[in-house]
Amino acid sequence: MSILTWARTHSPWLIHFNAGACNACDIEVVAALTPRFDVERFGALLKGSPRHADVMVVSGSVPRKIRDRLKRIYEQMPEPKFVVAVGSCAISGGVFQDCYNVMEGVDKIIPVNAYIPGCPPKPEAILDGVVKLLVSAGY
Amino acid sequence: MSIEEHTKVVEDLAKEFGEENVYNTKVPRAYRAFAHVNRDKFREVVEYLKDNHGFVHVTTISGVDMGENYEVVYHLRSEGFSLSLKVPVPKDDPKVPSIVDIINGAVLYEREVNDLLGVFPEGHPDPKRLILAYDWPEGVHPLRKEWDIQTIREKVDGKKWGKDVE
Repeated sequence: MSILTWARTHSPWLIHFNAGACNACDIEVVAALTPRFDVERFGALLKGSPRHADVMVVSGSVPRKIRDRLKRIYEQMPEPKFVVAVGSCAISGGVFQDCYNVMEGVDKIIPVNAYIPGCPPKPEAILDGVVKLLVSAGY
Repeated sequence: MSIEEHTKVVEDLAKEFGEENVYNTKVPRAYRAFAHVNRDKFREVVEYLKDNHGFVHVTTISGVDMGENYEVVYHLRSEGFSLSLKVPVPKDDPKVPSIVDIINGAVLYEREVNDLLGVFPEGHPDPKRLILAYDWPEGVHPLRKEWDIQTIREKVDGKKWGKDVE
């Protein structure tokens, strides 16, 4: 493991993006950040700006109006960057499939590295997804 | 207020404007009533209700595709009494008279109905797009029943896509 990979995988800073989610996934993401589940043992911190973040955690079914904003926020993140799709909506549109205003999933817009299924997924599942992402990145 | 008084409000309305303009009235319980209103007399009906019965608040406006015609439903409210006026609109002339100058609260709802069902509010002060996406083409109204999702996607994105399409 190079020192760069070591440094990057031990401090994955997160940006949380709500792309039209119903807030259930967001509540679980926020719950996963609490001391009870403690993502900080992996060095993960929630940041307020995409320019400081390495991992984008996206929830929601991506409505048409959010599509361009999602792309733009993603482009503002510095390389190397990773995207985690949280919840059924972010994976495939979920129950909003075949709605006229829904793009059916984050991976139609930007590349996604990890998918976490569930409606909403448990905080443990979100942690597991983030850890699997870190392992795939060379943790 | 009791159901008798609310029934009287609707009966007064039918008497004032005639059975051919206000019909299918229904008062299922106190504080709730329905009526069909002819489109040509609709503005006068709303003005009359506002001046005589205090209907100054429009809760929402819903648009329905009934198959042979559209129906725009105005949910008016006065001191807890909800009165839903259903206005049938023929499909070859999808327009309703705007009531914004009578009840100001209708300003956004009429734009929403124009976006989603394509029933144009004639006389609206600012009838531009409200909720559809910026790159949405003109003349595509997603809540009309004659289109399914793939037809809409073909019009909007130029191609079919989704789980039914390879």
